[in-house]
Amino acid sequence: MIYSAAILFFLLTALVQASAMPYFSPLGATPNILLIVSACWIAVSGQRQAMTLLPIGAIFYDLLTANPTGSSLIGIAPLLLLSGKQDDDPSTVRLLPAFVMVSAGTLVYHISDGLIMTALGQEVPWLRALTERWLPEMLVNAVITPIIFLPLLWISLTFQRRNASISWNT
Amino acid sequence: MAISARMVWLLMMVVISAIGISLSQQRLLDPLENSALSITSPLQGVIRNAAENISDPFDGGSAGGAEAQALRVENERLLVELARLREQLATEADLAELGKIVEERPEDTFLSAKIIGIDPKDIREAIAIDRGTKDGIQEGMMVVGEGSALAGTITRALDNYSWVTLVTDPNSHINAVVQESDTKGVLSGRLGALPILELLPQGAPVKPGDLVVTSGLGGTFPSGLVIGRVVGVEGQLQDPFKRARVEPTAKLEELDTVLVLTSFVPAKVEGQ
Repeated sequence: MIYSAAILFFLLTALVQASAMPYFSPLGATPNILLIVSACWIAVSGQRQAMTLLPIGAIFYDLLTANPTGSSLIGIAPLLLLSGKQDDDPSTVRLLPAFVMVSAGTLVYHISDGLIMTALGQEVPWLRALTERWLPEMLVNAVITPIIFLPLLWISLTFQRRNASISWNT
Repeated sequence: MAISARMVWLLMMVVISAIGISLSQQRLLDPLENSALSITSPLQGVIRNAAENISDPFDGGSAGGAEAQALRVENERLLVELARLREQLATEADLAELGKIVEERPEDTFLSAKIIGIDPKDIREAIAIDRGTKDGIQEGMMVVGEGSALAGTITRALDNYSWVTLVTDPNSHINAVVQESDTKGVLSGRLGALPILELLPQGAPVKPGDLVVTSGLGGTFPSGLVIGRVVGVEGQLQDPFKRARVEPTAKLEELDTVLVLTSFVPAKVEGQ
């Protein structure tokens, strides 16, 4: 049940990213809420769930855009490596790792995307893209991170408490 | 979780991505993409409209916006008419001078299409329209704004949807000519800046305000299609070529509906 809701949430995030986010460009950069949600999910719920949810969200997003299907997955997957060893201590829920994941993940995402575009014969204005798009997006994504992280954390803690109370009563 | 497990997972994702990209390039995933867009397009429309309404105040969308938009479209139409008349004059002069018979071009036919999406990628300027191969759309066809100025080219056609690469995209290169001086060059899109008309001879009398239209060279674009106006000329005296910044006539950021020029099918060079 929780997994189904999580999958639906990721699909909806991909949909919003594809259809709504191009209309917002603070500092000239389009925020990547799919990447932010993925990073926050890893920080809040751990890596095991993310291993299933990330590919679903990324592939669905590619199907809705002009991206070659799979290109976003290759960009977003390294988030799991950037997240460190959080599952070793599931009680530690930290915002700082989410910030680090989002910032570094944004850059990794775009560099891998740029490499794929280059490999497919498309022109990528690397320097201009880095200075005018990707670095501002790192900042914008980092600013948005708490707005997504805190509700996710609240939902996660609420579920944990409810599960704990159910197991205590039984 | 052990690092090795994450590495295995990452490796699997790389393999899946590589397979996906490969299939996508061979157009084998087109039916899946078409289905995904078909299923989600109503919901996407709702989300997009909401986003547009929310973002409008931030973009400076203000009172009188509709009137300004109508004036811009009218301005675009007048520019197109001016360019057409000039082209006609030039053609007639050429015919008189050279005595050649101009090959008869079929009457232009257009197919209207609604914009259903914008490519969210920061470094690409592309839009999705609600017409596809089932409507007779082919890759390479021209897309013009409501006032008939060039907006872009169909670069990917699915069954019911197509992706249009705009003239401002860094991957867009169009053979163009400055109408006033008949100076030919190549118009290239640039990231975060106006497109630039390159390879202009140093002595060419190009000045701000000049009209830039497609030259028709190469056969991928029809000639005489309005692209925009020169707003500035760049380059030092010692440079072999100079460049001109061109402001597209079609207001690409305000497009809601576009027209696909279906009567012109671009020539295919062998190996394309």
